[in-house]
Amino acid sequence: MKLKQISVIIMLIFILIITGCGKRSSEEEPSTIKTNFVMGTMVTVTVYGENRNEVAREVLDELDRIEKLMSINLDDSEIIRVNKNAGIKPVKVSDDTYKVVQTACEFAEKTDGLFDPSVGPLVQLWGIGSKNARVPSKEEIAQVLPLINYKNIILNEREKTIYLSKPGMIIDVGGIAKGYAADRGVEIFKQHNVKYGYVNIGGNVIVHGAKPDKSLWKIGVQDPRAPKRGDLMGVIEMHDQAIVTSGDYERYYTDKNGKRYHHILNPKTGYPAEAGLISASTIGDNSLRADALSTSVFLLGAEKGQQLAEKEGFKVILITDKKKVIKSSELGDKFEITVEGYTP
Amino acid sequence: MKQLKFGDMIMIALILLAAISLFIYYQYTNSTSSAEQVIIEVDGEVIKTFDLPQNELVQYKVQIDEDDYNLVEIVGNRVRLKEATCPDQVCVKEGWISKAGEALICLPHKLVVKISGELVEDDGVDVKSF
Repeated sequence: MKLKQISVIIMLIFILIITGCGKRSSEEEPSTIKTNFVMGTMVTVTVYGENRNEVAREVLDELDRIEKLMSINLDDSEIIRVNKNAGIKPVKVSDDTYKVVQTACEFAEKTDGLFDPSVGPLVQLWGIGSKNARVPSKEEIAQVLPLINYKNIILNEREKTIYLSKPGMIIDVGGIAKGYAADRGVEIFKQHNVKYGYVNIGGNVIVHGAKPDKSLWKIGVQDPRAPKRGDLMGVIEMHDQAIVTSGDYERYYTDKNGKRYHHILNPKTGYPAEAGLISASTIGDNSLRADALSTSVFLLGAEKGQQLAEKEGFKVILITDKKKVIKSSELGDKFEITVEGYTP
Repeated sequence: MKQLKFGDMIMIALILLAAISLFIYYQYTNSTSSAEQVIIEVDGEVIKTFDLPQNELVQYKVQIDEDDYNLVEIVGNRVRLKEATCPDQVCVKEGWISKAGEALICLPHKLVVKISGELVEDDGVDVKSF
């Protein structure tokens, strides 16, 4: 009898060991991680919860849809049609495209035209990031500058039309379309009652909820002077917020003398922005606005940039060309510098 | 005290055997899932995989179009893009990767070269902003 009891106990112990093993791996909430190339960059969608596969798929499809509306690197899109009809006629667009262009114009107004969606002709002239990248002549720059003026983007809210009033104008919203797409991703999360997840569109990150274990998401901020993408200078903790970083290291062209020209162009001078910043991150609850703001702040410089962002209800982490780090006091100890060489 | 019957002993032995073999099976399947592969993708499609480690130097040229290519090099457990025709050369500058889940990305060519498995970021972050 005793031996039988012992054997039963041994059985139970082994059953516990085995089921225990199974439990441990299922205790951690399963997630779906999908990556793809969309909008000219690498996109990662991470979703937890029951319908995670379908939701991740739906988010990627939505990003694809937005790219087809707003890209200028395709054969056709709403923005391409708007550009083709510059000086000819207004073009009716989707609510999505309208909202993005309208937001761009709003920040053009707020930055006095430093951030300007009609910067397209200048972007094409430099071609930074493409094979045709080069330093244009002063004459070439002088020729395209008069085409850049957000005041010549005529928006009709009721008809949802966009009209570029000068022939040759080109609007380019490729940058902030990514911010809009990230917001749409989180809206899809909410429609499906997804509690936790994030969308990362080439470094534009929006997190939804906190992590399944209730801790905050930890987001690394790129070290703008590290040789490698993915080397961090600091870490920020957050939930339910977007972070967008603009920097001079993302895309650039090096001429034969070794001089570097980055991709954030100042439409007043025609040359890459030189406002004393090498990186500008903006943090807030809306990725579209965070995106417009990070470029705006980069162009405005530390002081004016921080003022504008905070007035808009966003927080900033700025890195100057002297590697000094300026952050919104509201961030407190949520942001931490993790490498040597950067001083608060 | 009753004697343990022969049948009981067989029973115990079988259960022990089942438990131990299941335990070993779990251990084994866990370890096989971390056996690594290099996965080469262009525009989301897997075009080639290599098992790791590779004892001899492997060079594999990914032809993107007529003019453009990336040259993947695998030595032992390490992978890099040795050459590429992309304008920014970001993928070449990334150097070697060797850990599960790490990836080399060439945006202009929509190329991803990754090592299978889940990435455990050694800097302890969930995601990166750049």
